[in-house]
Amino acid sequence: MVHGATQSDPLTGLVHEIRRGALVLAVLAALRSEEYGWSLLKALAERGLEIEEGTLYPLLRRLEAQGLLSSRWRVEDGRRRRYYRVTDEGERIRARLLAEWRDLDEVMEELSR
Amino acid sequence: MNEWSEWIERYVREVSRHLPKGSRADVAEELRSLLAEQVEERIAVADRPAEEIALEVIGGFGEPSEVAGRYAPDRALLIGPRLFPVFKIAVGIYLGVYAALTAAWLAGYSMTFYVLPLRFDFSEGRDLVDVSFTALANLGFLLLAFVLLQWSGVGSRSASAGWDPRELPELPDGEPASRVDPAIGLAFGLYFLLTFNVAPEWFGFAFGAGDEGYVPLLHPEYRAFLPWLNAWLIPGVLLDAWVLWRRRRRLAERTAEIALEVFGVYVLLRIVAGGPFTRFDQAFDPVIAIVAIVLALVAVVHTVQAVDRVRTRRLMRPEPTGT
Repeated sequence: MVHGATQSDPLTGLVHEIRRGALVLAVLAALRSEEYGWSLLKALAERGLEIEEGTLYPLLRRLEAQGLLSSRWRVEDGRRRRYYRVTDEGERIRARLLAEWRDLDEVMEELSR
Repeated sequence: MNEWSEWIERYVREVSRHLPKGSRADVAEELRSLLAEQVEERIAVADRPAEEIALEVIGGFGEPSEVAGRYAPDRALLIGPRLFPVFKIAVGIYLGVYAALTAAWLAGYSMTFYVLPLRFDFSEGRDLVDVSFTALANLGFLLLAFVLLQWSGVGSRSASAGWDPRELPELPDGEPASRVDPAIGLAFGLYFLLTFNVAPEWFGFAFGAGDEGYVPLLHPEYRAFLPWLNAWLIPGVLLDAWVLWRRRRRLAERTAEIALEVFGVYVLLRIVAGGPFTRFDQAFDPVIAIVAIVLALVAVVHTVQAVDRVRTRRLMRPEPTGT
């Protein structure tokens, strides 16, 4: 959701840039337990971060290819789903990224005074 | 398969087409499951046609080649996913034309022309190495042209351009066919056609050095069976080429293959009963008879399998998983 923007507003594109930069951290932070793509998408949306399916699902695969996530197929409710969880390396990266994010937040707070 | 799941299948198929082969099946299965679940959840709460909801979900997912591109690791591509299928077609056409011209040059026809910047130099005095290097140089120019198109933005879709999921291609009929079997069938079919019709002396035994130690296998009167052999081999070659090109087998292709197998058994039995076919009929008749029996058994097995497939509708479009 972009506050105070219309479709053609340059603000929309800039906000998308900021959100896109935060996507990886958001996914790593949201994956506290095993989730599959659709449940993760809904969990992020409930917390205010709307992501397109065509962006999230490939991102999960790419993070898995980078070793930050691992996945397995599970059958639930008669449906085969691919569940993702954060690896040890992913947790280490998540902690680093969160620290970087908090530092950046302090800097932005200082700059905006 | 119902109407809305068919749209999902079309979309998954189109995305998969642009994915690397190694991850294609796995990503396709995940996409299929995710899309089906999303659509079913929306159908449960919305009072709109299911097909409309499915098209909405697919449309929101994104244009297939763009979505497939997001599955690729972060790296620069010389030719992007939208232009790459066109590039493959262009290379296929170029290689086909170059192969045909090379075959004509080997047969004695010389020519030189240019389709700038591509050069087709098949003049006298050149050798096969020169001709091959020119082929590679032309391929380089073709690659460069597509790279320039990609960098100029021809292969990109602007963020504001929409796409219509209703334009997704329909699902093909039949089941995927391996390329190996029809390729082998095509190669052997062409070889036998050429040998029987043009160069029967290619079949033979060599007992020593030189022509005196070589005995052709085929009897001079084998030509009496040539019409039957051609009637069997030519449709077989055409069918293998067709399956190789389409990479799918429908009921029609399966039926034609079985019919040709049965006809092949008949031709072989005619040869055994008619004779002479080889110069060593007494030795080879049992061999040909055994081959005919084996082919008859294979034809029976294939017929039973084909009937079973039709009965269980395995030749129809696949059912999506998870629905």
